[in-house]
Amino acid sequence: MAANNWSELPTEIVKLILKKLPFIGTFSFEAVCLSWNIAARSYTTYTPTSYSPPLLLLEEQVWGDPNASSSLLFLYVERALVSFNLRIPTKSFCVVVIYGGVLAITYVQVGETATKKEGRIPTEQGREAEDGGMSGATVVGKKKSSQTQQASLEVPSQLSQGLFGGSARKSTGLQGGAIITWFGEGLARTSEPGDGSVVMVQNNFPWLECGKS
Amino acid sequence: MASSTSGSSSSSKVVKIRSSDNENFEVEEAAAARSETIKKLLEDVGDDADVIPLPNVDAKTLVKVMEWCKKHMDDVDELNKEEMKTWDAEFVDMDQSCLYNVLLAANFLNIKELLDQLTQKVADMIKGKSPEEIRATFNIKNDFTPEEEAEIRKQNAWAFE
Repeated sequence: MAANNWSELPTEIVKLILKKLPFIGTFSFEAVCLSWNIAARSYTTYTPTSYSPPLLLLEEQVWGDPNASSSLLFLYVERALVSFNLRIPTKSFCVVVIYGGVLAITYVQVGETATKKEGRIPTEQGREAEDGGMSGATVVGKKKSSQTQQASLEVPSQLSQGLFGGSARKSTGLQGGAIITWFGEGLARTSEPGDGSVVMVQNNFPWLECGKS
Repeated sequence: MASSTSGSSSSSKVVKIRSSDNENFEVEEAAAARSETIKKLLEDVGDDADVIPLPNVDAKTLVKVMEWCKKHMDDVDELNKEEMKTWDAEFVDMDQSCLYNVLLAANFLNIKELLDQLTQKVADMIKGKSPEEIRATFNIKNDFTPEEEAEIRKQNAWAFE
């Protein structure tokens, strides 16, 4: 019998471990067992009230492989985390838009292109209202999106850089990245850095999987 | 240059510590004092100390911890940092049962830097794993009720893809 019992780790140690996990890891952590769950939930120091703008977390392992056909992006906004697959075949991809604490997940469908101007795409308002099963992450975006509309025009450039800088840029040469301009709820402009194609996209659910063409 | 924490001339000074399974060890004071717990005990009892009992740490674990303390006894700037890093990485690379004991010991003995390294190691073992994989790695029993588990999965659906 193993004498040790990891589920009975003292809370102070658990906190030290949690502190060292990437945010995404804490969700797996709290799903391991009851005591870890309680510990993780009571551990609130990662609440990023001091973070501004919201953080985008790129999971390096996923981004690490330049040949990967899918990547994960994690966006951390006000205790809410969003992740989704980036499938990056030809012309379809997912992007995350953040602006002043608001997040929007944008989902680019193949063929739903491509204008640099703000061609109106129906907003999510109606649909969101109907959807009772939205996650906390989306709720964050939803709640604030009206503010965004007033406040917003473009994602500040350093924010865009933050989106696709760092490890993603290094390891994958911007695979799946996009420059995003956020116009308010349901509307954003994205352009792939590579070939410069531009698409208007629409909010959708917090974890999206882009269909391959 | 004299170290700030303990005079280098006193490096020959030795303290005795006793593990939970009643093994006695003689350790250089400068090494033992990496543990805030021991340091405080030494300060409290002064030179009257005969043997410091450590009822929470068994001999095998204590050896391991003291190995670390000895290595980290000197001021870091005197050592090659890269070499130290490698040494530390090898040190924490132990089986999970041992890791668990050393982790608890480091906590009890209050050796902050070691605790940091060990919890980093645990975090690295958790990173990128699903809950199932984490349980398997650390031999943890899933003690959620099916309802609780379903609820967690629902909340964090994306994490379990």
